[in-house]
Amino acid sequence: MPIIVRLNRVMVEQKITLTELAERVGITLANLSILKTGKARAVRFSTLEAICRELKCQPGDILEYVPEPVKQPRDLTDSKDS
Amino acid sequence: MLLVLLVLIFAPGRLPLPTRVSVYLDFYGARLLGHMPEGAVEASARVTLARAVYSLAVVEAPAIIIAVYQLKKILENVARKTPLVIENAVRIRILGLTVIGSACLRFGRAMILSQVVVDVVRLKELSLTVQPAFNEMNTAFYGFLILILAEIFRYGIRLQEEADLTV
Repeated sequence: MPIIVRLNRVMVEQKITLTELAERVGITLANLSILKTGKARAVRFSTLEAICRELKCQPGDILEYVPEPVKQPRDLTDSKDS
Repeated sequence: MLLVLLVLIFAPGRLPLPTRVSVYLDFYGARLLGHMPEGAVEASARVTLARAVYSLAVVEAPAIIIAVYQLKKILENVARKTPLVIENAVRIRILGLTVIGSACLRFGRAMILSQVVVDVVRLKELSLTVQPAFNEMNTAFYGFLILILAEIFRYGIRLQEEADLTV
């Protein structure tokens, strides 16, 4: 997925542990871990708001868009020649 | 195939031969049961009838075994409190396909057995003809319903995954 979660970086800057953030945000440690490891498929605005409030940051500090490399179609003529 | 062959060779000798032939008479939805007199089926014809009955039962048995095995596995997942897994959707689909396959087999069995009965029964003033066993289409229809349910179940699993991975 081209959306990268930079929660770890912000947490290090703020010197806050995952358990502490989970308690302050009001979500389970398991769910926060899903978000941190990039396994999450979606983030609720309410969760994002709570994380930004506790970490005193902007959503852009946590989420980053990195475009995936476009797959080039294989050149069949080259492969036939070689 | 080998199993069917073994049954064809040994079953009539080992298993009981049919002593009486009963027939269902379908009269506009009403089903009447009739019994043939013993003289209607000759002793040699009873072996042919037994071979047909037992070998067709062997052909049909795997469908029942597969269906029961899939149900067992699904119920195991339900007991483990993990019913919403893709494995169950696949098993429900297999179950549906088995029901459809079983309906086709039963259709074939009915046609073959009817023909065998027509060939072995000898009675004066009685004429038997074979008609397609279209009532097995109902079973096939239930199989298609199970396939639709399997797809709905698969969609439900996808929604559950989305919900689980939304923080």
